[in-house]
Amino acid sequence: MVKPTLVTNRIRALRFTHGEMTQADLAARVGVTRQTVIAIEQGRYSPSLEMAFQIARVFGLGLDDVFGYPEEN
Amino acid sequence: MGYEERNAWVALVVGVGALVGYVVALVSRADGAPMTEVDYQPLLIATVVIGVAVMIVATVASTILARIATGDAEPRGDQRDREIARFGERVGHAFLVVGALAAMLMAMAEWDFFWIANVLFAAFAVSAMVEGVAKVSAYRWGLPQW
Repeated sequence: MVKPTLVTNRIRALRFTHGEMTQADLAARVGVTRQTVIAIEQGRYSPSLEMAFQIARVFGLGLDDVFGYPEEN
Repeated sequence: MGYEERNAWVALVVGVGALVGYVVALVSRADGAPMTEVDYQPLLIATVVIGVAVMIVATVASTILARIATGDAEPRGDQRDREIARFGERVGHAFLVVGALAAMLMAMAEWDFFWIANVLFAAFAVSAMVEGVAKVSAYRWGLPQW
């Protein structure tokens, strides 16, 4: 199956290093549903640039520290 | 499962149930006679009315039950839900257009009203089902990238 997005992220790891933040906590702080946080973590949904900034801001990090995109070969 | 995903499932199940129920009722009423002789109008109207009513009741019931079970105070939908809704509508819309075009050609060729009405109904039903499948797939496996 083709992966829906090539965007990778470290949200799961960052949640644990930020006081074991739950998916529900992150969702509430970003203003999305928990299902959307789950989908982003699992690589099933690529967030908009605005949502990506909001998520990065929750962790006090830059976009590149939270999200990644593979280099072209 | 989120509010909008649950609604997509409800719409899909009710849509399939309505179409299957209608076809079964229609065929049993025909009882071997030509389809065009079946008094299909009351059946078709009843299917649409009951289908809409069941959809509303099922959506409300599933939402209430989910809120009671989880005490969930999450937003009902977000950007992902809107993107999935748009994707589903776009995919389903194609089938509606095909059905409408088919009905237009059938009317121009002066086909029996039975076939025109039923092609339009089938187009609505198939469009709704395809939309439901597209939405549920997007919720389960992600939106396709293109």
